[in-house]
Amino acid sequence: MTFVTLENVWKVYLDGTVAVDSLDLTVEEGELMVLVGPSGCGKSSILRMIAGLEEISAGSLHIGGELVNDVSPDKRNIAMVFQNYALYPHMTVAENMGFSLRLQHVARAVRKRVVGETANVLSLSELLERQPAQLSGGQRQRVAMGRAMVRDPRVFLLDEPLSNLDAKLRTQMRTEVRQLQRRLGSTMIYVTHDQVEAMTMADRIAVLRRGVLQQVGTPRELYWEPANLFVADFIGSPAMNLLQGRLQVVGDRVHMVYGEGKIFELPSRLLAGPPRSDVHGKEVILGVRPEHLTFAGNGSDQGIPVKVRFSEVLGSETLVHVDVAAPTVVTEGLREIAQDIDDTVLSQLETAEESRFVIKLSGDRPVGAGKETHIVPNQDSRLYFFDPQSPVTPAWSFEPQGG
Amino acid sequence: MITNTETVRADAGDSQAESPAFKRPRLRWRRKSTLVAYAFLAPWIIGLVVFYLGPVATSAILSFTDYNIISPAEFTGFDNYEKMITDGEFVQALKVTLYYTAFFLLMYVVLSLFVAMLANRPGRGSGLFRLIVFLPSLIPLFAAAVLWGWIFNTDFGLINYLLEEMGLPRQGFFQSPQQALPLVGMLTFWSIGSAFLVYLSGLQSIPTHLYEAITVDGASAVRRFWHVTLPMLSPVILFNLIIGIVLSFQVFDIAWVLTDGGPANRTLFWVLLIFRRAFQDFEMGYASALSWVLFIVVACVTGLIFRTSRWWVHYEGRSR
Amino acid sequence: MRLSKEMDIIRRAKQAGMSRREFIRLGGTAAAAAAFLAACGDDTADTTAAPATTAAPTTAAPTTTAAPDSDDIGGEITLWAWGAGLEGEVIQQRIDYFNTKYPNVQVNWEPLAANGYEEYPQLLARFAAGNAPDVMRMLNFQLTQLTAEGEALLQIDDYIARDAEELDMGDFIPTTVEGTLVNGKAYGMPDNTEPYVIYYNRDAFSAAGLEDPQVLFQNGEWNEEAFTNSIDALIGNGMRFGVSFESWNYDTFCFMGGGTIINEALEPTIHQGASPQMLGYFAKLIEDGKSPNPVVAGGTHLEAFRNQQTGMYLMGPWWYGALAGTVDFDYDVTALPSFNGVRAGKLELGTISISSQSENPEAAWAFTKTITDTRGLEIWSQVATPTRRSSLEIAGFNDVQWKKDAVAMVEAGTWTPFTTKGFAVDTAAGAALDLLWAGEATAEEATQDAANRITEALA
Repeated sequence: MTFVTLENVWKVYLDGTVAVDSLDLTVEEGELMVLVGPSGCGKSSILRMIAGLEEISAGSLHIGGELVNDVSPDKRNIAMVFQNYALYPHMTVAENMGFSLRLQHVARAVRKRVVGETANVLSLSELLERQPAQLSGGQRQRVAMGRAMVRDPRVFLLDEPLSNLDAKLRTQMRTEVRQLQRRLGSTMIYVTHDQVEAMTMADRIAVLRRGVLQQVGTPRELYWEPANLFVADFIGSPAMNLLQGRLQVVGDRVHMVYGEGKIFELPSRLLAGPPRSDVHGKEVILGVRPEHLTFAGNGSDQGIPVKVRFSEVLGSETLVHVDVAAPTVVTEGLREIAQDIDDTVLSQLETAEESRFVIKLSGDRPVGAGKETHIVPNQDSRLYFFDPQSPVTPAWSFEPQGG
Repeated sequence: MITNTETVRADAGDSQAESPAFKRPRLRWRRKSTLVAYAFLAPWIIGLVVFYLGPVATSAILSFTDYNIISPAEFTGFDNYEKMITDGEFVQALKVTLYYTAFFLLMYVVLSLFVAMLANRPGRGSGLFRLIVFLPSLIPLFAAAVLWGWIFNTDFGLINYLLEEMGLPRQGFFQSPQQALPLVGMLTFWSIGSAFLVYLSGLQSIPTHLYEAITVDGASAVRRFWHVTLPMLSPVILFNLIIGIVLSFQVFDIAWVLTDGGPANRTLFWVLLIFRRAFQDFEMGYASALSWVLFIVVACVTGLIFRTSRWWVHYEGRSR
Repeated sequence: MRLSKEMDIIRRAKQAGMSRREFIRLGGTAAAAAAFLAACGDDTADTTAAPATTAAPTTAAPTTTAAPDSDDIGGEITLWAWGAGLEGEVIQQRIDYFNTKYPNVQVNWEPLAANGYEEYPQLLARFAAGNAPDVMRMLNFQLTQLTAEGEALLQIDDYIARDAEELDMGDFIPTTVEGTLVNGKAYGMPDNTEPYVIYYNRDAFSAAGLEDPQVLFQNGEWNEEAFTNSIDALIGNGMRFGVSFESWNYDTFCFMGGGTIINEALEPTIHQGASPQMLGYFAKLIEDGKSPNPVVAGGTHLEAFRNQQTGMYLMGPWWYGALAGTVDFDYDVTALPSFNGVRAGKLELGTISISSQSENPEAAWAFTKTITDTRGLEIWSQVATPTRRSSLEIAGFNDVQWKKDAVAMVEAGTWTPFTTKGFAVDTAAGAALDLLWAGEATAEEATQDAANRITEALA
């Protein structure tokens, strides 16, 4: 049953910034929907509009079938968990958790019982008389969750609730939140910029870019069928390997010309049927996930020649970083990371003669640095083709043979 | 200085085992660096002692004498302090000062908070509004008081002219025994700028997400103020309260420039009385005693407030 | 008309809208506080317990029974006096004149930076330090205070008696000599003086068909009735108020009808005799809307006169020159009206006094008596109203009608016995009378209250 519906929703700020651009999105009852995207993608604005903290510029918002555009936040029966937890610093844990009930004039005894039960669920019973300043980050996070749970809301809204925790705790809390949501059967809308968090927690994920919804789907759908370059690049870790070049149809074969006249023949088993003539001469970005690449056999000159830079052994798997003789495809995600480090890093990337590929091998299989070899798509491989002109043009691919 | 000491100590640590003689230069070093420190502090210490602690101590001693500058001071015990009880003008000054303090705190602590909250709302004109509220603080009260004298003059003032034009009766203002003090109190609105500024920065440091959290929790504007703004501002309120009390007990300018304590001593502030006793009547001993009682009263009041503050002031990141 | 320096100072104060009391504070406070602290700073270490004071012999009698020959007097004396510009030049002329008579005395004079008000606390500090100047130009309330606070000034009766012939004290206007007395003893020589007078708008008077007050005064008809009639007629002819005055002039009002504030025994008398009646008269003017509120809080009542809101203004004569060119009507000054058949009023007085710490009192006295003799005051008349009749005559003061009227007021002036508590008495009475001006007490109630407060202040 559809529980939260956004129809053609816009958010335009006074300075003309369009934060959310004609969004259509539905969230099913009991579903954990994750809104994900880089900063400035509008995910928080959407959450805040659902919460009623921000006005909806245009469009309609229904919660439980009721149009709530003009309903005040407290009447929407939603609960929100903030990135900084937003615990009232002068109140004890119990007071924090029971505060919304107090505002609803719920009797003290009832309040105490509900808070006690919730605290029990969250293992907070020992901490009820403490003040937020005396709690650890994880404890505060649980109190924030507890405060939301006490209200028994129709929808939980979570705004990057785990981003202030350290990595280990974050992984643990991910699971806890997920289990809690399952147990309560509650509807949750969860905002994060961390695609791993999104992939591991969500029933469905909505990927946003600059206020525009790019794709909604289950984690699997997003992984296997990314709608465009943006989604493909955003989802998956390590990110998808990208190679820019031009397709050439030679008979029943398809070649990709990249770098300085290098030619990579696309394995015919990955091409469904005879190649269509309309792809001939087309400028494309070829995408292959790291786990879909492998090294060609010794002495083979098939595939793409690479030079191994280094290997990361993670135990159950090995990431081999290699250089390919083709300019780096600077996606928005890469650009953001580079800029975060230094602007010179970005210009180095943009002018680089080589681009870095990552190959994920299962098991402990390091490859010596400096080795020159070839890489080829493996058995499970899928090739995605994207438009170099725009990251939001729909992707296309050849159907795998016999797929 | 610290660096020197640390360095020397580290150096000495190596050689310590070799010979106790190495201790000597180290000690000399430390003594020397201490002396250097005092040399640098000396101007401040001398200034503090000569121009601050000295006069303070002097006034404490003088308060037990009948010193009048010209004649030698004679020790009179607690006479000056006993005299206050029967000094009608002191009793009046006490009343006036307490009344004014109440008025001033209302303006300085309460009203300025509301003005700051108004100014804190984003939007066009809020910068101008803040400027307008703060601007008066830049004009000395002294100068402003002269202007007010004219504006509020009973017979020739602008306000009464306007009142008359509107068919309303003329008011006595500063020249009326009933209105002078309340008017002086109201005009302290002029000096709320600094409290306003402190509040404004306090308000801006309250995390927005607390307001959002409490909004989602279902609180009305009044409750948001009561449960977020007030507790989060409580350290700032305490600060303004203390400053306000100190300022209001020390008020002097307006009465000095404008009303001369009148009409009928209705604006005879404590400090004005001290001034009269000291520099008109040259009762330096009595004036010193009045000053010390003022100090003790202010100290007690602020001490009392600090004592109660643990029940109502919340410091983030610290438990009660 | 050239005004004496202190009157100029007062005038400036008035322009700033301050009463005399306020002005004294204005000049005094910052400087006073600073000087006092400085004094403490200087001497604190050894004076805190017993501030060094020097009250030297207070009745240092002359050592000789006759004045020594002028050539026998020598040494140096220090003069403490303010005076800039022309006034400074005139003071230098007086010093030069003194040196023609006493060539062996060196007078050390450095003009004060300000006006004698601001430096007054500094002067006190110098007394405290035993370092007072030999001769001082002072205002008579300062004289009173210095005397009463510790005999800081030399009591000069014996000198006056010794040199009586040369001095011709009878030449001084008697009221000015009275102003130098504290408890009947002289602590200075009268130097210059200003009486309180009435300013009037001559154009308004003639428009109202009133006789000119100067003429009335000359005819002996400038009395309560004429004053009251003038007020009513002025108001009947378009003036908003008849007369304006300031509440701190309550002493003038008391004196005008022959009343007093306190008596020689330092008991309050403000509630007796003519004082309540006189204060009641002026309070009634306010109540009837014939005078503006006299409580000085914002502005002077001179402005009301300047702007033709009022036809008369009661104040010292120092505004006469300042009004010229700032008003477009004809104005003049005359004596205060007589009440109860008495003509009296308040005076301001400057004196020349000698420090009791002076180590050369003979020279100091010689200087004092010389610059206040007929020639000395004649020189002084270039910038001040001298206190000797002979000097007034030479300087032509009796040729100008309003100056003549003012001198008449000096002749008729009154002093209230000042004490060390002069200011305390003043503020006590002033506070009580504020209720009278506000219409919240009758003259009887207010003066009784004032008397009680004065008693308390003098206790």
